[in-house]
Amino acid sequence: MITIGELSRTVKKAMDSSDFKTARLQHKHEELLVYYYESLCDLKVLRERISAPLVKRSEEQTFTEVLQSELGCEEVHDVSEVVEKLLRGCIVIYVKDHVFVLQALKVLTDQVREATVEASIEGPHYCLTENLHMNLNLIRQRYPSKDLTAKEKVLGRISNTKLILLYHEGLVQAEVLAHIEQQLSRIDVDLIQSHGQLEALMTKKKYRLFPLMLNTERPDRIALNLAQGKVVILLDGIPSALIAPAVFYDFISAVDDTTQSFFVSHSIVLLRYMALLITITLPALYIAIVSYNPEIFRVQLAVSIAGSRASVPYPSFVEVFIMMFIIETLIEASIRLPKYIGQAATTVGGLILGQAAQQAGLVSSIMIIVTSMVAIVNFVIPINAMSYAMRVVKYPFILLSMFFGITGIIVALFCFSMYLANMESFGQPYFKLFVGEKSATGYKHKETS
Amino acid sequence: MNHYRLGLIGIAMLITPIVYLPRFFIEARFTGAIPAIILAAMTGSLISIWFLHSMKQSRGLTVLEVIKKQVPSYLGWPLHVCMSITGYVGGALVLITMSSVTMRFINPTMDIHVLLLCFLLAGGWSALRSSRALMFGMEYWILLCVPLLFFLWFKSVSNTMFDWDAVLMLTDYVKITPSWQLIFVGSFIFTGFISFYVFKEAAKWQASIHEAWMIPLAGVIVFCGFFFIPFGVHGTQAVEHYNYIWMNTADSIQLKHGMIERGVFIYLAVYMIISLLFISISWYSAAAWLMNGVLASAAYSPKKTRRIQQLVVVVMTVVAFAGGHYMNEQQLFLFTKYWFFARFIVDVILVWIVGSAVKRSKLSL
Repeated sequence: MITIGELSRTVKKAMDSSDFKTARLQHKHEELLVYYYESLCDLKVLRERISAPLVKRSEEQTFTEVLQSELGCEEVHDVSEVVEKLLRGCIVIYVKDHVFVLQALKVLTDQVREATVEASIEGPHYCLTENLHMNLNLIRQRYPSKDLTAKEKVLGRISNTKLILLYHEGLVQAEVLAHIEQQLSRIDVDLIQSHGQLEALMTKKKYRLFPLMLNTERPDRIALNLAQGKVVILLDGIPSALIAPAVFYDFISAVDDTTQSFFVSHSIVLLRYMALLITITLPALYIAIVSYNPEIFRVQLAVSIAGSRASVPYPSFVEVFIMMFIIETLIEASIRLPKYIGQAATTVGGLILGQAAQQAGLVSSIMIIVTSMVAIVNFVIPINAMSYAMRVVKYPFILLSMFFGITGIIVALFCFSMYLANMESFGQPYFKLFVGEKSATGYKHKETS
Repeated sequence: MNHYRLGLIGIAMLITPIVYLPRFFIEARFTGAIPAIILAAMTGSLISIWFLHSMKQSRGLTVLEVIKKQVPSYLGWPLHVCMSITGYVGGALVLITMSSVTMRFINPTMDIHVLLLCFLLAGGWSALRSSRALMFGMEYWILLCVPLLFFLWFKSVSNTMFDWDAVLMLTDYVKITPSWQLIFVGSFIFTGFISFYVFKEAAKWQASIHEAWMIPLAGVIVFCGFFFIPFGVHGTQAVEHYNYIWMNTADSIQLKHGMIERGVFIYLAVYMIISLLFISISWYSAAAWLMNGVLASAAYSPKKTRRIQQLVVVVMTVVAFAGGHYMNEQQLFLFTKYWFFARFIVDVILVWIVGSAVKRSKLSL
């Protein structure tokens, strides 16, 4: 039993908002009070499921009984729950000392759209939406297993963001799941808005360079990872999912690798690793070759580099820093700018990079090739987070080659590999030669000890 | 078969040209180098197989855990300290040699102190990584480096100027009694991994019979490659004129159509990586020996243990830097020789103590 006085005291604060509506519906002897946020609720629901039944109901049936038989409608016994329900898009109905809530959230973000970040040629084209339930729908369609377990949690004191933890019961490693749940329960913030933020909150290490969880927008990748026994985290309002634990290989593989034949797909993966190596070492190699050891490559190359550098007044590392700065700002600008201005920016930038800088004697023509090569090969890395990380990694290499030449690059490569090998993703090794992951597609290598 | 254990065995074999091992044998080419390596292969393999056999009894424990369980502390304590010192010194020797090689062949204008600092920072930093990281790193670097090394060997041998007569001439000097010193030095190829047996990953699966015959086989192949190829390239007389014989041998390799024309750069890159691996693995294991020997009784928190470990590495870095500053190449060569002797004796004592302790515990069961 909740009296009308209690109810109106509870919703009093909300009444200050202009989009909070109160309505009194009356038919014959029945009278009910309806509270809802106009901005959150679908009025069609109110019309079809409350107004219409109220008018149509038969004499012997009370309206309380009608509501009790409604799907998605439940009675609330504790008045303190009412405000939260209102904020979640429910309509609160007061009828004869009973309070009912009816789910009427108007969802506008459940349109399935084509994948843009992880586009594929032959694979499926649609990606996750910004609606949690729609995402669950997409995943369950791809993964119709009774073992697929979804656990809902709420994070953020203000945002109350819904989060769903998905895993295949029986395949998931118990300690990994426990670890993830423990990290989630530790999170204590006001607002959760992004996956990057969630990932940072879930990992203990503050200073971190590489992503420890895989961020993907593709339901097929999620299904594949679920079958490999991984845990998927879906956050409401974000059109992608986080997958943990992740290994380095995951960031270098694309989903449609499996659509090609064995040699084709393995060659492409090899190509990506080569691109990775080039993108992190090439600027550093340029410095080492020009300033320390021109004799490493052929004499002809040394001569042509020296020739193209004839008009450059600075040492090689200044040249590298100038060009790296231009290319990084160009990439950053083309992401942030609106489409129409973005085109102009890239055209102007392309002109500078192409000829002007070289003709002005600011940089050598070989450096232009190096710069564009570094930028292009960086885009080969399929997962955005890793490609960003690799953009940063090349700077320590540049610094070490500035001080120690080619020795510095080799030492940096060694330390880089040790850094990666030392990393762990939720207790699992991150960078290992024989990953030993379960092959769900029958496509990856067989498990090795 | 455990590929981490194989990796450790391999890294001890591959490091030999950096610790002057081929040079010791080349200097003694007319005074019993070949019989010395045959004897060293026999003694070294016997020691390692005995060691692996006693480790097999302990079912996946590292040597540190076996000693803790079965060796009385008055024996264990000095053993730990000796193993730790030889480990640290070995890493430092490799580091100093590598810096001076780098200075000579890649950066002749650079001050050796700068290069020492570069290697010290990298080696010290990686020695503080987790054991898992070192094992994973070792795995892929060895898989990358060994084919390159074999390629260079192949390029050397397949050169039309390679003089097989010079190599075959050495067969005239087979029946000469070798010196004990050379056997001690040569056995490093076969027993070098013993002090590294502190990695949990490497001890996990039990040794099989395959590993027993792999040690002498791989050791002899590695030795033959590093010992005989310089004779074919430089001739039996000129071969002793070089301090870093393998650098000069690799410098005679020309890759006609390769992106890098001179083989020495590939060789140097491979050896920088192998040296760094050796340094970090030997310093890591030296720290493990020290921690379990000296500080075993005092139960420190993990954080404090880590601090002590870092402190030891810093001290070691300073000592190695000073060593690199004061030692010239001749002294380094001599010091390496003494290190080989010390290491051999300590290894034999360790294997004997562990072997007899394991045997005794088995009898008492």
